[in-house]
Amino acid sequence: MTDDVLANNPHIRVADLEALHAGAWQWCYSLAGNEADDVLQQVYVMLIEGKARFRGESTLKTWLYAVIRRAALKDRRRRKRWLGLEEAQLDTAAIELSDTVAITPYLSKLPAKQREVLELSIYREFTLAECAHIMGVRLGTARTHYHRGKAALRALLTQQQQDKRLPDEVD
Amino acid sequence: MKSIDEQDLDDTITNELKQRDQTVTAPDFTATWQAAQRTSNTHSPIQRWQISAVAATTLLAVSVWVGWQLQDSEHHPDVIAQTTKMPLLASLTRTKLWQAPSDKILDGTTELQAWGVPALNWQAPLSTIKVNEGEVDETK
Repeated sequence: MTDDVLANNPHIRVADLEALHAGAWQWCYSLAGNEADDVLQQVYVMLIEGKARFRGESTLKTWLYAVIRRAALKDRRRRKRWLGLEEAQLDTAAIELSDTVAITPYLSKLPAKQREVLELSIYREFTLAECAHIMGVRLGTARTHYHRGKAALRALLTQQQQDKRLPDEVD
Repeated sequence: MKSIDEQDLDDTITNELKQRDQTVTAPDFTATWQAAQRTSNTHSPIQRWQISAVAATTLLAVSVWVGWQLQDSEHHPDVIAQTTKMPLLASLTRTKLWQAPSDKILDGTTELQAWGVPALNWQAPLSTIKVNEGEVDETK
């Protein structure tokens, strides 16, 4: 693309967005499933129109991921209103859309915020402070979600190990 | 049983998400960006005349509503204001805009009486009026 700076977002270069695009879309997919294309396009519209304004107070990547998260949640609420689904039903629908049940057997069993902080910190290599910024929570809250998420995951893996051992012990 | 250490947890998360991301493909940046630009171009900013039109329409609607309240009511503006919980209405109805000349009201020849509005002096506060007579109690 070009090195153009956005008229309504002078701290953002299109080339920087292009470099972040693939990872940003994956994060979007993680949150919005098959709606990821639409949500990310809405985010780009917000950047073009200056409705989400980057002031350079964090890295562009951290800020962009936070904007994507807010847009995905807003999209989810909008769909919930239109479809008249309960939150739990929508969660199930989103999971089915993104096939995360099959692809992420452990993470999909965790509460959303625990899942988010683990993905951001371990897979996408953000610091916990950056995770807190993206998720719009305090650092202490992010740390709590992180530790609870890991504890829950450890319990799931332990349970799986025990389940594997049981048939052996029967034999 | 082998204990699950931190590295096992990290590997589990990384492997799951890596596997997921390999099964999906991000759309081309240029296509997404150009679609966003097209969408943005269709969003025209709110023009000043549109704001003026909305304000004028609202004012007209409020005026018509106030007029309707007055025409339809047989009460003093203070009573209307209390009933509708709109103190502003009492102020509005005391302005010249909404009043017939008080002498005409008092002598009962005004059109307002033809509408069924009692012959009250609307400029006077309710507390100073002898209800049903439409006269101002000068002693208050």
